[in-house]
Amino acid sequence: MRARVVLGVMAVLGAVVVACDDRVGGPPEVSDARVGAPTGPNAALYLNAEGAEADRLVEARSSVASEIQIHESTTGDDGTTRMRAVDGLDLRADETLVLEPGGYHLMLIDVERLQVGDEIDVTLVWENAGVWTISAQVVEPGDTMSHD
Amino acid sequence: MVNVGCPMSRTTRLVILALVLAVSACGGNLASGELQGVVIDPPQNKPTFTLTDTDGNPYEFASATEGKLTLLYFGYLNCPDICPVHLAQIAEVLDRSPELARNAEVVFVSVDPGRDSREEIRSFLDNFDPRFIGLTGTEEELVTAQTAAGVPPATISGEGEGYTVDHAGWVIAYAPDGRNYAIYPFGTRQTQWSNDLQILAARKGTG
Repeated sequence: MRARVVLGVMAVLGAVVVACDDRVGGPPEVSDARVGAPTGPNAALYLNAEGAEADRLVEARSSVASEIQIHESTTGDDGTTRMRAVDGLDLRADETLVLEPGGYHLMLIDVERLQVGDEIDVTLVWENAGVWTISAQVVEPGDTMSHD
Repeated sequence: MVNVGCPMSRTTRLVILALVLAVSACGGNLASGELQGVVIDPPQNKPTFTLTDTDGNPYEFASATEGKLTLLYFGYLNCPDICPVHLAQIAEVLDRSPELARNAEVVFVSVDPGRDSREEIRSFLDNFDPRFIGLTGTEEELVTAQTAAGVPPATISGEGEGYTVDHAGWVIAYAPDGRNYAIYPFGTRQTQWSNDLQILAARKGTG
């Protein structure tokens, strides 16, 4: 009985090791993941990511939103702000991919009523590193920008 | 350009753009006593337009905000990125300075009449400050208001329910004297807001 448990544990560990072997170099390191408390049907998530190897963020999902789109906000030459969905975001080796207000963000569509202080799990899908879940902090809508 | 209702010319927009870029490049020069926003020279008069407030009453912008420090912003509720940041920043500055808040009016105009109801606009603004005024109108009324305020009218992009709205990204500030001395593109810092609102609040001439 005891031997069986040990074997079972070893099998699980073995499976984990095999899974990890596919993820060359580990996932990009994500920091400062934050979501502005929703003020409407959607919310925006921001973060910084960096890794030793180039990768591409191709998808994101979370149980608190019906869908997450990768968005880019730009300001045109007449001062008009536009928001567009993009297919993915490139992470260059040893450079920080910055998602911040007025630039890139992950848009949580039909998001739940999140409260400031909540933490939510968000799954990020990287082209090379695979699927990794991160935790993001819910902050005041005005605290998504870095302060002076 | 000072005529009420005169749309902003392409040249003026380009000048504003150049100024926006200049400010961005410098990161804002925080000398006290000077406006940190994008200065409008010569200052523009407050526009005249009428929309509907969140209680369903007509709101004549120029007369309703007469004598007050007034911040005017065109946005939409499905905008989770820059709209909440602008409004949260303004709310925070006013929250820290009750004296400033007493004679200030923040007016948010929804340029997404297809999705944003009066009730939803009210509940959106209550996230920031229940005193913020929310306005809506027909598409024609909204184009008139935006043109009068000198911003390019918002346009819809994309199809289906998930469309986005391309809209002016800056907040227009009017001093109590009814003049627009500066505008505030996205990226304006809290310290810049605080500095400028104090300066503008003191401009109480008769206009």
